[in-house]
Amino acid sequence: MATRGSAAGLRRTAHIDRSAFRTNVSRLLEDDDSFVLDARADAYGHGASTLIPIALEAGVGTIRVSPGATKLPGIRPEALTTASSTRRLIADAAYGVDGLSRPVMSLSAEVVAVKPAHAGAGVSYGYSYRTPAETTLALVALGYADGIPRLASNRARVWIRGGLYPLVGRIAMDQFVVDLGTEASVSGPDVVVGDVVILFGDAAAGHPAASDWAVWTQRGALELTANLGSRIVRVDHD
Amino acid sequence: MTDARIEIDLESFRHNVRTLSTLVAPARTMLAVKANAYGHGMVPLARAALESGADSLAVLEVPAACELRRNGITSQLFAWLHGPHTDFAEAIDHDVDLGVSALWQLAAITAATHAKPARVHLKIDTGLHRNGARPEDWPGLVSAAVAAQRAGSLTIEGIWSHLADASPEEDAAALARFRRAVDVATSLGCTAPLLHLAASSAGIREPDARLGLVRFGIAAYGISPFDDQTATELGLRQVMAMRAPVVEVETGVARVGVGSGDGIQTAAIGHAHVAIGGSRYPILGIEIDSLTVDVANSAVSVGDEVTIFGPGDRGEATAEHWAVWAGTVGDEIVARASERLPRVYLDASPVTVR
Repeated sequence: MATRGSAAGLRRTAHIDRSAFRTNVSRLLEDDDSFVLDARADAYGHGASTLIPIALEAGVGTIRVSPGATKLPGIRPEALTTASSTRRLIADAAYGVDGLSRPVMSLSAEVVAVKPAHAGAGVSYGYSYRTPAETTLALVALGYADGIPRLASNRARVWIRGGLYPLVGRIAMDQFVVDLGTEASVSGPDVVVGDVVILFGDAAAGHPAASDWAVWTQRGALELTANLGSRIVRVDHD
Repeated sequence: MTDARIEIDLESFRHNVRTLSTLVAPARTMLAVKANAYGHGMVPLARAALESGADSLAVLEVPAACELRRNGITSQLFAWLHGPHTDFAEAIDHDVDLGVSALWQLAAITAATHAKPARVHLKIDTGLHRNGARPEDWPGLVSAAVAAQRAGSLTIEGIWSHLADASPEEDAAALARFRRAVDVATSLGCTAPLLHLAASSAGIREPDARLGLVRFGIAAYGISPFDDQTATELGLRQVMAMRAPVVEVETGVARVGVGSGDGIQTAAIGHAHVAIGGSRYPILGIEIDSLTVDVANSAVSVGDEVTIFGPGDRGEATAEHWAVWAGTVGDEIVARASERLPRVYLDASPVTVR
């Protein structure tokens, strides 16, 4: 995942909530201060160089990292290990994908097209979805090359303007389609180009959770976040 | 011990591009290098494509086109997925051909025009229901583009669409819709020099859809776009291979130094196997940084090279096999192959890019 933008183009963003991570880790330390924090695979795509200093400052003693990730600028190497141990290894609760702690990552993109469709319109490759009635379709610029698994086709829901809408048709390499007409939404389908689409984020705010995506894509939530691609720009927030 | 890596065989890629461009000639070949050339590495693959029969490149979005220009690529470049923040002025400065699906894009492009006209390709939706103007909106889009061309702010370089590959009948219907849209455009004073519709699938099997240019993607990377014919049967060779060392062997189980953090699909467990020394061994488990393999009663030892997938000529699985095991397409297997592993380019002299 990239940590900075290039020339202005499509917006694909993984927002990292550092204070949520700090809160999660601090609460875990209150229960048991001997655990090892699992920060393999670049802290499962959340950014090891951002989150490891926060964990160390909070009082975590040992951090497990991937082989080849043992040198991080400004971090004392003796705090990092690549070895497994008998101590408790914590991941899900630290990154907030356990359904209890605060989610650290929120993944968003933008609507790049909105258009009406007739009933029976085939959507995306193979026409695996046909619109059941006259509706409005939105196109979103994220696809399986960005790490949105194709298995989520016709299964996932995304948040737009306060409503949850089904992702319909096959997810393509760079884009997917949302049917704005089939679900009742809070604000109605007044979606326009440029609107923010949240794939997962804060369940308390009505967004799908990373754990929902884990079910839709038959893999672990952190496996999903670890595999987000470099076209997604990571933005840190306090 | 050799390190975990992704090998990109540039000679195989050149062979595929030559094979496909020869097949569709006199239609031109545009090679899709979007999504970092489907995970293979955009700049080296762009150069190899232009050396072997492609005369233009499909890049999806403006920033990717600008990156190719910064790397000295001077060929025609085509970008078609835009957002409200897309920098059209930079695209026009860099002579990037722009796909246009909607009036808001046309307005943003003409507003960004200063020193020279923008080069646009108008897109009609022929049934895929992603981008492209609806038939109802098409005359309005064409008329606005023709007016902008007369005013000198753009030139209409092409009319195009994209097929759903749903069935030969559906693709034939889409081709008919495309021809109707071209007729409508002609009647409105738009005579585009170039028509393009086909990607790999129709480029290979539907000669009527080749028109002026075929945008080849997945087939050029040596993965079949079809369910009923493999890349090998099409005379194509898979370009990407993923290899990693055995890092530990204990009681008949070998640990291999790549895992789900490298894009290896856990959904494939139960079906998937890897190749070591030309023999196949079943995968037992996949963790974030490693996978375990059943090597009971074999001589596999630490340091042995494991092929996760490759062209398939030394006992290893191909990306097509992994796609079946994981319930997806080969495109996803290669496009999601680890970004943290180095790409090693096999050519006259191998080059590693980290």
